[in-house]
This record gives sequence, C-alpha cells and structure tokens, in this order.
Amino acid sequence: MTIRPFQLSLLLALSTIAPAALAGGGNPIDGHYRGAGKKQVLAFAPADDLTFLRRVTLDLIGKLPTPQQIDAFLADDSLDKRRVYIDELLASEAYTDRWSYYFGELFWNQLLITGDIRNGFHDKIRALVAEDRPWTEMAEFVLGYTGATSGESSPMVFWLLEAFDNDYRLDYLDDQIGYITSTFLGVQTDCISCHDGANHLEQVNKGLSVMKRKQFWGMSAFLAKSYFYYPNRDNTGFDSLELVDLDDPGFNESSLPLYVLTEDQETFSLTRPGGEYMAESAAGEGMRVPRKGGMIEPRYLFTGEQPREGEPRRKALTRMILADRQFARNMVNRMWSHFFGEGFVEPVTGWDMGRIDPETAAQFDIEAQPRDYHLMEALTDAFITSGYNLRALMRDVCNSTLYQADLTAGAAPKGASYWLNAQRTRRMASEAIVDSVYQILETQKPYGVTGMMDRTILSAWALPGTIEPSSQALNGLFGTQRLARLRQMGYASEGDFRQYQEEASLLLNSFGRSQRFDQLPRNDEASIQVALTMMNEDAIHKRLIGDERSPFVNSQAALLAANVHTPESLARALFLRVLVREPTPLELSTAAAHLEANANADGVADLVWALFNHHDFLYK
Amino acid sequence: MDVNRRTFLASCAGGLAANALARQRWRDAPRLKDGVETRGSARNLVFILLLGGPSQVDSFDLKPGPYTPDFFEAADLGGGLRWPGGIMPKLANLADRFSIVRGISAMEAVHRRAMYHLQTGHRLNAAMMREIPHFLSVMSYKMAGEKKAGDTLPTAMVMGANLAKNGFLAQEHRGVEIGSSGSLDNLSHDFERYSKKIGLLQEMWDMAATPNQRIADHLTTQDQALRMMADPDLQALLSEGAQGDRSSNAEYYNQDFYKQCEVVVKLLELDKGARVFQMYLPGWDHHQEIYSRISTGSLPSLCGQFDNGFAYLLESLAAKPGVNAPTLLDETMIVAMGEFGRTISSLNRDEGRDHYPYAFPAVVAGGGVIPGRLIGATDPLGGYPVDPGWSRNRYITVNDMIATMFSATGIDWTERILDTPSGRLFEFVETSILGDAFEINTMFE
Repeated sequence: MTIRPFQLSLLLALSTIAPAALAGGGNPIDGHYRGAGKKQVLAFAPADDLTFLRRVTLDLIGKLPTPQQIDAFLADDSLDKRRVYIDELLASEAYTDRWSYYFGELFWNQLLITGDIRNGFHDKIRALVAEDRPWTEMAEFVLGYTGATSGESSPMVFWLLEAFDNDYRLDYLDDQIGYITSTFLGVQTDCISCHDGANHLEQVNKGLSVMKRKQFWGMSAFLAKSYFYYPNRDNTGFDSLELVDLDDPGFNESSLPLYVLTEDQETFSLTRPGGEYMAESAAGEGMRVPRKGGMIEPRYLFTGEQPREGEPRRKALTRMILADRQFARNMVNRMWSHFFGEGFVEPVTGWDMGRIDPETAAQFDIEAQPRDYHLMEALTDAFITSGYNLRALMRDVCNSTLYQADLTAGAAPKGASYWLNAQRTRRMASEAIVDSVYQILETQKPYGVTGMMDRTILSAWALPGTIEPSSQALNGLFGTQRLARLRQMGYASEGDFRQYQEEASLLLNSFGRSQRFDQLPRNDEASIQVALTMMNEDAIHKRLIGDERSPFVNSQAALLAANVHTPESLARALFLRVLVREPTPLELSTAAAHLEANANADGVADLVWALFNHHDFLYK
Repeated sequence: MDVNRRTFLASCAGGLAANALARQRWRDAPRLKDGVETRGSARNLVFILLLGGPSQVDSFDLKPGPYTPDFFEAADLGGGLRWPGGIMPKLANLADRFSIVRGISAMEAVHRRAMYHLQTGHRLNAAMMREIPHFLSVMSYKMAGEKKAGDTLPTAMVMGANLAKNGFLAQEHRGVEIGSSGSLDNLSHDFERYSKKIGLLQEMWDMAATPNQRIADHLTTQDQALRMMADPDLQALLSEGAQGDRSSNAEYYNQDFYKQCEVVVKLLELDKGARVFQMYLPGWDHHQEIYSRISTGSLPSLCGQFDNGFAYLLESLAAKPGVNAPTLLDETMIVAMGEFGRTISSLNRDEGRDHYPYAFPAVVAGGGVIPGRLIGATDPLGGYPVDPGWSRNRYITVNDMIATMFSATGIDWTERILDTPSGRLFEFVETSILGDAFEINTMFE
C-alpha cells in the first residue's frame, strides 16, 4: 500500500512534535505515554485513514461509514480532519442512538408488562445523552428517583427488576444493592450478602475478603425507607405503582394509604412498613441464609459514612456514590473497555478495592489490579475535571495517538503497551452487523417497536430494548389506522411487516446481542453458529440471491452491464463499501475476474456474500 | 506474527485447525501425583444436565412419605431401589441397566454458580470465567490426537444452557452448540450454487493475513462450519426441518429431550468425530406445585420426559455395535444429574421444594459402569449421606463425579496446566476444600 503524504508526515513527526498538535489539545492519554518523566515513551505509528475511519465510526456510532463519508474523508486533506470527523460523529443523531442504547443496556432497561415504562426510561436516557448531560446527572436520576412508575420518564425498570422475582423484602434490598454497586461502582458485592468475606473470598477479591456481611447490610439499610406502593388499592395495575421514601420530607404519609409491595410475603400489605433493615430472618424466609444482626444502621460500605442529620437515606446513598472516586473510575474503565477491547479492570464489574492502587494492594501482598494504574487515574482526574462529561472523555480517547495507532503486526513499537495487543481486535457488535448489512444492501426499513409505532426507527441502536423489533408493536393499532401506518413505513402488507421484524430480531439474537430480560450479557465470541448464520441465514441470503434481492445488488449489476463500472472499479467499490479498505492487488484481480466471468446480479451478490463472510468485515 | 491463512491451515494436521498461535504459551505443569490410573472404559461420554435441581426424594433417591402422591406408584424394585414407577415406568423395567450414585454433595446452592461448577469442575470466579473451559472442552483437548481424517464434527457437542465454552483452550475444542431440540440452524444451504461462492470466499481468505488469535478463532469456526455443511449425513440429521417425523414416540409432553436422544444416538452411530456430549433437560426448579399433573413443567412431566429419553438411549445404544466394544452402550458412559437437590420431607407452603445441596443423586450407565447398583445411601429422609458408597472416607462431591467422567474416558483428571492467559495454574478438576477429587471406583469395580 502506498503511503499518503499525510501519513508520512505523521510518521516522521511522531517522535518530535507534541501530541497536542495532533490531538488538538492536551490529551491525557498522550500525555501519559509521552510526557516528560514518564517511563513509557512510545512512538505509535498512526493507522491509515480508512482503518481509522472504520474504527472510530464503529466505536462511536456503531456502524460502518457510508460510501459518502468514506469519499469525503479521503478527499479531505486538511491536517485536523480526524479531529473534525470525531466531532461530527459526537454531534450526530447516530451517536445519541448508540449511547442511549449503551445506557439502556447498562440499566437492563426492558419491557415490563407494557412498553410505556421502558420507553419512558429510554426517552429520558436519550435526552440526557443528546443534551450531553454529565454521568452524575444520569446516575442521580436513576438512584434517587421517587414517584410514579409510568409517565414521561421513569427509571422504575431499574428498581423493579428484582421486585417481582423476589417476594422477600430483605432479599430484594440486598439484590438491589448488589445491582447498584456493580452498575455504578463496578464492584460485585453480592458475595458478602450471604456470608462474611473471610474464609471465602481471599482468592477472589481481597477487598471483599476483609468485609463482613453486616457491612453489606449497612448498604442495604440505605434502601430500607424506600417502598413501592399503590396509592389506590382498587388500582393495583403496574402503572399506578409508585416508589416513595418514608424519610423524604416531601412524603406525606397521612394522605396516602400504603398498600406496600414486598413488605412481607403478601403481595401487598396494609400495615405500616417498618422502614428499617431488621437483620433477623429464619431459614426459608427468602433465599439467603438466615440473618442475625438486629436493626442495622445505614453505613456506606467502603467508608462507613452515615447519612447527615435529616438527610433521607436514599439521597444520602446517592450522594456518597457520586462522591466516590470509584464511581468515576468505573465509568472511565467501562469506556476504556469499549474503545480498547479490554478495560483497565476486566470484567468491568470485577473491581477489587483491596487492589485498587499499589499501596493498598501491598497490604495484601499482591500487585495492584488495574492494568495501567497511573493512566487510569489520570483519565479519572480528567473525567472528574470535565464535570463527568462523557463526550469529553470519548473525545480524548478517540483523539489520542494510542487510539489512532496502527495495530497491524509489526507496526507497533517494540515493547509496546498491552493496549496494542490483540485484545483490540473484536467482532462487531450484533447491532452493528445488522445495521451494516442493511446499510450496505440498502434494505433498511423502519422497525416496529412496541409503543413507538409513531416513530421512524432506522437503526438497531435506536431500539429501546432487546425484544424489539417485534410484530407485537402492531397491537395498539387497529383497522385502517394500522394499514395506513404500515404503508407509510414502506410495508406492502401486515405479513411483510411481521416478517421483516422477525428476521431482524433473529439476526440480532443470532449475532449475540444481550438479552436484557434474562440479564444475559452480549456475546461476541467466535462460534460455528455465528459462522453458519453469516453464510446461510435466509434473512441475509434472500436479499443477495433470492426473490427479495437488494436494490443495491441489482443497481450495481446494471452499472456493470452498462459499462459505467468496470469489473475493477466495481470490485474496488465493494471492498470499500463492505470492508472499508482497499483491496490488495491480488484481491482486486481475483474479484474483478469473478465479476468479469459473472457480470450479472448473481455475480455481484456472490462477491458481496464473500465480503460479508470475510473476517475484515466481522472483526475490527 | 503474520500468518498467511494457507500456511496457517497447512500447518494443522489434516486441515483440522489446531490453533497454533498465541494460545500455545502455556505448558503442562509438573505432575503432583504419579501413577494415577485412569479407567479408560468409555470411548464416549453423554452428560445429561438436569438443570434446576431435581427433587431427589421424589425421583432417583425416592423417600416415600405422606407427601408422595399415589400416582407415583412408589414401589420397591429389589436390591434397595425404590422407584416411582407411575412417573418413570420405562426405567422401572430397565433398572438392571443403570446405577445410581446417591448422596452427592454440591458446594453451591444457587443455580448459576452450581451449574457452572458442574460444567467446569471449578467454582465460579468472575475474574477467571473467560479462561475456564467446560469439562467437555478439556476432554476434546485431550482427545485431539484421536481425530480421524474424515471427521466432520468437533469432539464436543453441547445442547442447552452453557456457562463455559472453550476457555483458554483452542477454538476447535469449543462444543458445538445445538438447539435443545437437537437441530442446528443454518446448516442447510443451496449446494448447487455453493461451490462457486465458497471458492471465491476461500480464495479471498487465502490472500488475507491472520493477524491475531481472535480472527484465527473465527476462521477456525468457518472451517468447521464448511466441513459440516459439506457432510450430507449431518445435513440430514441436524438441519432444521430434517427432524419432522423422526420422533415416533409422541406420547409424552415436550419432545425436545427425546429428539436430543435420537440425535446423540445417531451421531455416535455415524462416528463423525463427536464423542462427548452435553444433553439438556431443564425445568426442575420446583419451588411451587411440584406434583402438579396439569402443569407441563412439573416434576411428573419432567420425570416422564427423562424416562422416555433415557430408556431410549439405553436401549438404542445397547442395540448398536460399538467401534471398539460389542455395543455403543458398552463404550459410552451416560451420566444424568442436576446441579443440586431439593429440600426433603414435607413440601413448602407453595407445595414445592427449595434448593438443597447436601445429598443428591446421579444416574449412571454404560461405558464400563456396572449396572444395577446403588452406590452410597442416604438417611431415611434423604437429607444426608449415611454411607458414602466408595472407598474414601468422605462423601462424594460434584468434583468426584467430574473426575470419574474424566477417568472413564481415559483422562487423568489430576492434570494441571501452567501459565494460562491470566498467568494461573489450571487444574482439570479444582482442588476443593476437601482436597483432591477421586474417581468413584465403585461404579466400575
């Protein structure tokens, strides 16, 4: 491959010029690797434009760059075009889709009985992402929410996940705390919800190994004043359920009958709730081993801090979590994992607070857990200083020399950081595969989403949950209204609509999207099943060679027949479109020979099929 | 390291892609014990995961009480075996073909953790989850040298839920995941058109470098998929729609388990390289209405499904010639068990039983297992082992069950590997708080 002048200048410049000149500001990552006095001074060669373009587009908006984006980027010869492109992506609607999905997945947002609750939460997240609100604000909204289940924007899915599975209140509180610490702090504390850490967790988690079950109860006690209740006993529908805090000054008990869910074994009870964490339970009450500890005071697990005078407990917990440096680290680590394939700590919910830094770890006679402690802390500082601004963090990452480095074998400097190893290579996310296939074949139609049939949703990342798209979405529409909307969306019939949703859902599941209802994380491992799906699944196949052949395939075949495209120019265009790279000379001649011998739609389809099944499509 | 795909594949014996890249950094650890003798009585293994925790006192370690429904027809079949013939009639007549290990102890009482333990011989540790393989993958790794040139299937096949994959072992040792009704989606294809397309694809692959392990793994799966697609026998057996009327026995509820049994028997008969299987009959988590005759998910229904499928396995495998032994059953060990048991004595207030890890059974047969035995005994309520049933002076654990499956297939379960990707020592079966795991010799001697 020829080296463009732009790259050459970078190659030459890397060892001498300041990274700020490349990144458009003091980049904390570059500063860490290249600043004065740092141990690791590494000269990373930059990836070529197309590699960068594909990488950053997939990471920031979850799909491949379009041919228009590719052409424009290649034609642009300004020195700061990468920075400009990153900013364009960060400002795009597709960014809002992608990162709303990210947080929906983090909170396991899902359909509960009706789509309204899920969709309200989704829309709220979307607004926070679109408006570039800080991570603290999103966390505060979720953790501190009081009020109705339904409505414009309620995070009640987060609070209700375990509520119906678990009819024993103390277990519910414990489950919810485990869920809160893993989501917001990256620490799985569930182990010590049943037993002390000692004699159990020494080999698993040093920090937890010295904690006691009673300390965990102290965390649960922060939730002891919080209840779900029905304001009106005659209406125990889901949407009438509310979340209240007995110690909230705004809560007026006298005006409200408390029909409380999960206070005891009854579905709801008329008795006034206790409002305390009474750690007294017998075998068979709930799923955990019996508790014996009396009334538990709320104390923050990692510091022992208690609520202030008059401060409602859940507000106090929220305040403490947000003030905890681990809250910021957790998000920095999750982002690092997203952009580099592996976090400073992996899995991202596997933090060991006993190994958080070298000094603490030394007390346990072990090394610190984070891969690159100093870089992690530098980024955490930058994140906090930015006001927990997610876009700023991503901007720093994407503009860093490290992120933009050439990762092909031999290009990385000798002794290069861990981050340049093969971990960076990952399979495309399921949603990205489906979006990209449909984008390439020009077969994307609006998705049908329960409770959102009035919107035009054209990306898997814009879906509010993982049981979508679904033909169930039609349920709220009747008669002519239904038909009219389907026509508007471009569907010939109801059957056509249903089939499209089912196929998209099947593809998304086959490629391993998360299953929020079962709390199964996404799966991007290589498997025979994935290989078979990519090669043979009819939802893709029929759009290549079947009766529903993609208009794109037909149009390219027509251009070839009309000699607008030569076999070479079409082959190159297809490589760019599907793999976002130039073909090698050998690949070009092979593909062109194939198109020469099969100058028809089948021939074009076969080449697209071969490119879809090429690892340079599925992996990044 | 840049590896051209063609040279990469050529470096793998017979095209059976043994991933030769980064994974090979680890090495065998020095032996702790010398002279471990493995049984080697089974060429194949069928491990049946009864997920949910079957109630032992209502099934394989039946303890009739006032709670036992009449329709269970609890009866003494002789030799100390009490059996609910009303819900497992076929096996009542085949009691001389299998044995039961009673009083096994699980170390976990939560589904996910216990299931993971049963599938790996290791207790779940989130930090190490990615590198710990399913024990079937370890078997595949140890059996790699016995692969035949014409084998179109990987050694391990997994039906149903699976919390552990190949871990740090090479991609080829990952179990092929088959649907719980025994079919594999997208195996079928348009053969007529295929050769041209695949030819183009393979040419493209050949030109590309294999830059790292993840992509090498993906290429391995594509090779495996292509090999399976090219095998018409597998097409006929595993493709969706291929099953249709194969299941002649329609008298019971859900037919999925029976279909799995048919597929496994057929695959063993075809001998296409698949030798160790996980089968899957879930739904035993009967916290409520355990005896319901209305619910298709209740214990009587699941026992019926098990009875039907397991009887079929025993009879079909016994009727077919083996590769190295008179019958397939002689060389195929079958082990059916849950991840733990359920509470004993009377039912809970929801007429169900809750999790209970201290004494649960496994049903074992074939592959050198002496049939018709009851190994170990529990107290009259079924709550604790009173006779461990083997020469060791302690109760049998899940680890011992896994060690026994390794031993039967000729694999030294005390093997260890140094320097896994996380830099740790990997023991085939983890040393537990009770110390080493042992083969349960009384199954065979």
